[in-house]
Amino acid sequence: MTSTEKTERPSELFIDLHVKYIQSLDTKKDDLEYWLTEHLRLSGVYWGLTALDLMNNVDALNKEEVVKYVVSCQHDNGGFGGHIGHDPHLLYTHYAVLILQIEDSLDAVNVEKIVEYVASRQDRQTGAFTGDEWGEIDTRFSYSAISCLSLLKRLDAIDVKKATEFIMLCKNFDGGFGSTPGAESHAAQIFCCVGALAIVNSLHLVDADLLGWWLCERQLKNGGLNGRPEKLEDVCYSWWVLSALSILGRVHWINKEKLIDFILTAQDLETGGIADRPGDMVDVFHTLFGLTGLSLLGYPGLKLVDPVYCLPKYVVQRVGLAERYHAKYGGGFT
Amino acid sequence: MSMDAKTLYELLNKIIDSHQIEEICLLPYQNILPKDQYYPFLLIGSNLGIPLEHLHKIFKQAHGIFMNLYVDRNQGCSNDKLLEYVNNDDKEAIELIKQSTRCLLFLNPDFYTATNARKKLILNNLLDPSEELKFINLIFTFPKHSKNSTIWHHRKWIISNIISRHQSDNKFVIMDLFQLEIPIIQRVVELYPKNYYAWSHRHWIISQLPIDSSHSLSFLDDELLIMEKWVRTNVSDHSGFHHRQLCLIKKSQFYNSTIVNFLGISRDNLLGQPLVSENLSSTKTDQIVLLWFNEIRFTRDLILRYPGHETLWYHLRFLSAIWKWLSFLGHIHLIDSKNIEPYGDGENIVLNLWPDFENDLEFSRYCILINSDVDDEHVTLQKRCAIAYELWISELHGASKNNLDSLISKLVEIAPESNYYLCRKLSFRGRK
Repeated sequence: MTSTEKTERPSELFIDLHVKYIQSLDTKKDDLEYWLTEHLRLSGVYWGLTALDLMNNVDALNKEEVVKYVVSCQHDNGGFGGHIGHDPHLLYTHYAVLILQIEDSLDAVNVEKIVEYVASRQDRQTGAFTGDEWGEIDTRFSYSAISCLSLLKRLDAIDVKKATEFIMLCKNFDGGFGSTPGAESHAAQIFCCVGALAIVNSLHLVDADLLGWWLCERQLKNGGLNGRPEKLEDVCYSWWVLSALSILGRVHWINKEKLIDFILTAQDLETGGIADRPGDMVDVFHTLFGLTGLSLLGYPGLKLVDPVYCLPKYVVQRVGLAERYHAKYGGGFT
Repeated sequence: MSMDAKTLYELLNKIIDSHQIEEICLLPYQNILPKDQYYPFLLIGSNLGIPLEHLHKIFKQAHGIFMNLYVDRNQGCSNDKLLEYVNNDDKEAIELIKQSTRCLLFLNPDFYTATNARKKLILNNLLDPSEELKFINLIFTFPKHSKNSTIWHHRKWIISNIISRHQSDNKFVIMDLFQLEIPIIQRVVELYPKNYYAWSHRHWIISQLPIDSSHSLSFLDDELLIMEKWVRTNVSDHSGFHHRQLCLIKKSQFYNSTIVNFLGISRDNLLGQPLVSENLSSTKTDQIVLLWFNEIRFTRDLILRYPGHETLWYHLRFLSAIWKWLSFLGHIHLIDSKNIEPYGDGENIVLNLWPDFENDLEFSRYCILINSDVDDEHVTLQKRCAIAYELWISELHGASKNNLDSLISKLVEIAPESNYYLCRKLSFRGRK
């Protein structure tokens, strides 16, 4: 098969190519893109490592180097920056913990300090979380804090009840969630809020049937999913929408075949990697979320992903955390 | 020979310092105009073009200067070297940090450590917050730059900082500051439509308006007019409609502050017995009901003009929920619908139907009926949206299972690719 033929309609997942693509990312230091993403390198490592692990290639990145790098991003106050030298932030602290759990190397850092940092990000009055000392509030940060502390088994360090109350204030009439109270429903924020509620055993607060309907309405004719009404489809919503549906036990509400087809078509068969939509430039973020989407859809050859933590399922099991999704919760219609 | 990073970086700084730049853009090609003193940059009037091929060199140079000064290599990541320069009055270091962070944010406004450094400079009166707002305006002239939360939060932080600086200043008017924000946001959402962070910033401005001042009421009325014009011409922009919803809720609060609690409301909360709200004056209630009734009529009109837009039907779903909420609070039954002026020329009766459950169904059926013989993508979509809306309001009003089932059967027929409706249909059997 020539490469042009393959580009037209890939019908399978090219794992080897994607592994090579992720391995090559750290060698592109003369590329503008490398520099423009430098401040979030730690997220990049998480996206790449998780993708590799799901493709049964976690060793494609050297464990010792990964752990050493993560440790070098930690600050005295316990928080992590997005890269060496960058200020600490809750998002990167969460990514650091995710990476360390994949590598089973939590002992490389001072966990108590991390707990202290994450807990200090909660506004005890409203229950909301700020990303860093400068006060930005977003339900993304609520999720990061709750997932992070749950993975460290230290949810006791925050006011879970207040945190839940804040998330519920961000719920809209359509069953969805936004970034702050009153903000528009957005599939990525919905993943964060539903994931956080799942961890703190509060899924009963979600209008599951209503939200499930809204999430299903995100699927477009070409099989891809968008994140808000009348927006373009994007591979990353294969994760945001599907993970939320999965947590609510309603993945079967999505047309699986059409979505799988859409994700596979967004592969770049020359460079490896998956793009936001067919024909665009690939990046590691969309590569991961294409793969996690496929994993939730039961695509063969991939490890199972946990829809709450966005980690390979075996990692969550190794940590000893219960499955916080549909197994415990009802399954909706049929 | 190509220019080295240091020369490029210094030239760029010199241009920015000596000119009033109003717009920046990236040049995907080489500057082929005759070489002038700005080459390889392109300066036309107040517009500055930066050639894409040099970006990474300039970025690396600025990055090196900033990180070198900001990060204390001896202490790993932790640092407060910036505060040391402040305390030692090290003007040179501070100037270099200002320049390098400016350059970094021009090229990458998500570089949060740079915005943090600039906040520290503002707190120490080494950077003027109003000038910083103008700097962000300039960053936003590059559309893709407006699509990240870091720079928007930086903006919000600066506004809050300016407000706190003037707390005891009687002459300072917050509304003047907010007034400046609207045109900036407006320009950004035109350049980059459906921009979540720009609209969130706009919501924040509205949420900050005090509900006891006539100044803020007129601000809100202006905003409602701008939004009416905006949604009329952007019927698929859900973010725009969402913002209009927040403005309408805010406007209702001017009439009755108990309207505030629509946040976090579940559909289940609307299914119970109506609560009759205490001590409402009927004039104020009439004004609220009229406000929302007008919006419903306005939306119906748009739906008929622009068939097949999911956004418009979603807006109508929201309005039906609000209407239910208003009746839940005891507002609706107080008004005499016969006294309400007809919408538009009054000819289209369906626009003016009082939006109770039955009439809502009638509107939806009307939308399906007209054009029912036309085979067109928009008409098919309109039909699908209309039946989905019927399902939505039927659930909202606790309609019988039989009614819901028949709607779902219709939806399976019109949207065979949707597993959702199929799953619901399959569940009928399970129930029987």
